[in-house]
Amino acid sequence: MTRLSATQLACRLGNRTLWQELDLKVVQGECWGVLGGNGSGKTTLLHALVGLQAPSTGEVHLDGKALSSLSRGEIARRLGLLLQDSHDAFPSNVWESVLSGRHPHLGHWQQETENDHALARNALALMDLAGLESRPVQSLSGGERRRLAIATLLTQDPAILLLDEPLNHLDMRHQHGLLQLLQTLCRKDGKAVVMVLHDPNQALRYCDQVLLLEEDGAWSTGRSEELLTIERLSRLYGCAISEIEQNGKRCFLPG
Amino acid sequence: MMRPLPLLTLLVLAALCALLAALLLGSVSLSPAELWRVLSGDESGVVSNIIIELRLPRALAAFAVGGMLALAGTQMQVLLGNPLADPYILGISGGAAVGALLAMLLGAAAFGITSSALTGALASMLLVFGLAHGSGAWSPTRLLLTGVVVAAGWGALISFLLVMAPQQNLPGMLFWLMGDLAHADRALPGLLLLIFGLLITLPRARSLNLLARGEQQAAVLGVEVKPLRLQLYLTASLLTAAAVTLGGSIGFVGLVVPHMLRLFAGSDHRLLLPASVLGGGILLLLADTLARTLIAPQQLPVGVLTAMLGVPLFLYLLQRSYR
Repeated sequence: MTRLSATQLACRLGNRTLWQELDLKVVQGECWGVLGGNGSGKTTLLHALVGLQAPSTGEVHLDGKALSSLSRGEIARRLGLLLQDSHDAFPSNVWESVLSGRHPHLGHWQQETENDHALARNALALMDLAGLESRPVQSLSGGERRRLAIATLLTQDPAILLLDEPLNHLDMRHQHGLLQLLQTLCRKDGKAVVMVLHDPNQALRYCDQVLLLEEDGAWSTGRSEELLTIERLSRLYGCAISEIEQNGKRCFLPG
Repeated sequence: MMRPLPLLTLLVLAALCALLAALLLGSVSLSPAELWRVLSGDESGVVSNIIIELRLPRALAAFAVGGMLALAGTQMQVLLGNPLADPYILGISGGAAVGALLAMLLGAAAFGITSSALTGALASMLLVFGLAHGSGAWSPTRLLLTGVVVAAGWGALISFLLVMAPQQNLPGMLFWLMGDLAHADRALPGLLLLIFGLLITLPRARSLNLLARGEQQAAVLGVEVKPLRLQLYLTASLLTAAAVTLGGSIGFVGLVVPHMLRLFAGSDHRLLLPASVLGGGILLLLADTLARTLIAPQQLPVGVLTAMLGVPLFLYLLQRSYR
């Protein structure tokens, strides 16, 4: 079942046109990786998919309905986005932050229920943050803050998860833990995931599909093991890339 | 950090104590027994007049003004995404001051001064909104810069008016600028507006929590950011306009009360909004009682006292919270 689709999407920022006439179909249970050089429009694409950025042409559909016809609340109940950076001008603690993910599911005067608390506790545990509930967010390390932002997205519990560079600041254990978790969410819980990644090896290992965004606005999609080749990646990143193989696993290296 | 219910209960009790003190203390001090006789209707005459006609309305007005300033300050800080924002930062008090001072120069009576101050405040609010809104995006930065510049313009006009004013008008004008509740004898409109302001913001309290985490994060989690910003701007501006019209530009309450309460209550606006109303009301009520009694029968402008009370209290709390 197609959960999220984009048709003929294009976006103009200033006088620069990012990806042109982009078509995308994200099906339930699929894990997508978005790869491209710096400034190729990966973040803008995720923002367009969630409605933060209006596309200059084309349209995004969420569960068959035009995104522009849905309220922010209706979108947030089904579609979540992990922003590239989080911003905390005001003090807050870990528990308040993670619980804020339940906002779209609650009415104006409604308080969080035990069920909401259970979801938040579970998300903190999944992100290895259990026990830090009362810590001020400002006192967390960069990686812990990143995991807190991901835990907030998991607490929101949308059917489709968009993640903008989710692995930023994470150590190796947490990087792979997160990628495995996202893969499980797709395979077992029928979620759909679209994430921006910078490492083609992770995309190859964990993503079913990839979307490559080229510098000049061209794009291509396909199964990750088919699309991720030395030729395409060298062109995508504008540098030489070689490939090694060990125990049947392919691995890309720069140079 | 305190749980919501104990904190609110404590604040309500403190507010009642502050109200009691405001009714008992003054150039004529009363005993609780006398106060009880007045309130139960057994006592009439001078004492009754002092309490019912003078102290009660002024105490309620002080509470309303303090509550409105602290509530507007909390909202303004979220609206501008800046913990340093206060209700006056966008020039509303400046507009009100120019209106009030002009009316004083023209020799208007109390009602004239009040309505002129209100006109100035509303004019400033519309001016800033119009300029910041313009066409195009309505970003907090643009709003903040527009407001700060308009406020600076009002500041220059205020200086000009003070320089041009005849000697005998100056004390009254300075008192107004420092904030003074001596003429605040009508508390009801202020109290009603305060309750109204709280009631229309409370259902959005969770959205404010999210807006404090940034515009994009709020939008992603289901907040319609533009209407919320508009509502915050209008509510905070109207509350500020009403507070300034009633009590002049009383400083400090709107900036510091929200912060003080964040130290105690955390960052959840479901608690912070009602706590700000109570905290601001209490601070101004105490400050005004002191302003009336410290060098009685003379009165100090209450704005001087809010800072004298608030600065050490806030610095102490800040020290404690970083220990």
